[in-house]
Amino acid sequence: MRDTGPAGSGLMALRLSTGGRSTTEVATERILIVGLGGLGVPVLWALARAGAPPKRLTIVDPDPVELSNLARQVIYRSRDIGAPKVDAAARWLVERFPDINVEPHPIALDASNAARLVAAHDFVIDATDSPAAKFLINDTCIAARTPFVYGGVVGMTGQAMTVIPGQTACIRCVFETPPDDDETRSCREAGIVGPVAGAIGEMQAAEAMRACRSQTPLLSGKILTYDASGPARVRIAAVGPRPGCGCGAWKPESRDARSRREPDSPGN
Amino acid sequence: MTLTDTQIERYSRQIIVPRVGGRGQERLLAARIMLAGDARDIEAPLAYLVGAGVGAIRVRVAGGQGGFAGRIAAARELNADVSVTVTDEPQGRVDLALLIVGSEAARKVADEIVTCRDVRAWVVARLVAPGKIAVIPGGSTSPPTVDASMLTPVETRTEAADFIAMLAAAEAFKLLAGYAENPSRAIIEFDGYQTRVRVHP
Repeated sequence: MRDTGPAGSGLMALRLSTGGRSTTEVATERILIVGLGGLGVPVLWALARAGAPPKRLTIVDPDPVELSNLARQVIYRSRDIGAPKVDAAARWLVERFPDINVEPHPIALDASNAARLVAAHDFVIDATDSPAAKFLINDTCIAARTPFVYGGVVGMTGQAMTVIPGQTACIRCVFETPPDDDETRSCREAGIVGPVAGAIGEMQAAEAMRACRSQTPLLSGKILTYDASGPARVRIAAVGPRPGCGCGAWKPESRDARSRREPDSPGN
Repeated sequence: MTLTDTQIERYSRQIIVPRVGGRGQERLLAARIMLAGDARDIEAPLAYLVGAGVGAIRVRVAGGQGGFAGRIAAARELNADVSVTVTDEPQGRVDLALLIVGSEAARKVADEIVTCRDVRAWVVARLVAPGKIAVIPGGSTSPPTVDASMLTPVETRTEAADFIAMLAAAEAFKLLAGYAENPSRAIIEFDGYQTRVRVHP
């Protein structure tokens, strides 16, 4: 049986405002982090050290810690190499922040488990590095009416955007379909710099915390782009729902729809 | 300095970033920096700079080192390529000083450090709305000369303080790695929605 939260829960308010579940079904501050790499690590750390961290964190990642992770995934140590990332992260979290309840899952989020995992949480953080996973998270969260924050980083650039299902543009509104494999560059191919990923992760965590505090996430209906290839350039631009997208956010009278903008292709 | 096979593997994801490369990684490992600010503001930038392999980091914690020893130990454990030391004294020669100014205590420490002459480059982050980052590749110019407001009294912290501190860490990374061939002096201002960059020739 789920915990039930106070009526003033921000996540509860978000859920209810999206036409979600009844108050008795909604627990508070259960956050799912999908991916514990360059984005997931700063997200986890920022949430943990927040003044009022979420009561429960679920972390999902199928990969073990590798030597090449240590330069930017700064909660892991050499002794963690070979261990599942979720186990190493859970150990670190218990040592540093013993009051936080963490549930590690050394698995990949896929079509067989996504709906169950998302349904058990109030907010989802997409810290994955594959477009397919990002679209799966989008579609599952839209179906479950669970808000989530997307993040992507590659090289010296990153993006973040929060989706409130039924209210704001979703990933398919912006990018429509996953790019072909040969159109995307992964961190393995294009590289990644720790503080750039750290900045996007900080922003994603801040979005989750705003939701926990009954505040509208800054990036709901907006996309943040960060380009560090020159002096840091950050821009937050409105993105409206796309007519024809099945997410349900587009309304004919939507002002957002009229001001819709097309950002660049998704980071991964 | 020649990178070992283990170092090449460890730093491979940043080495392959265009304009970082193996030479950039060698510069990072050879670099000596000063990092100063409040414990809460410097912990994450410290971890990321240690992880990136910035060779020698002297840390000055505003308000004293008390309570930060465990974080220093954790930073040392993160990467054996990096030396992390704590100090309450003005630094000796460093390649870069990264000053995170999020409180009056941190501002006073920064105010003292900017008088030092043995600093080859500066990155100063001011965590007050609107957030500001001064990036100064040439050490001959101190941050208040480029923007007089950088070290004025600190009032309310910006909600984006952690984000801005991380942007500043990224700017420090780029200067240390030699990412830009001729980096410019710049003031980067973040109003919560976008940055405005003023480049000073």
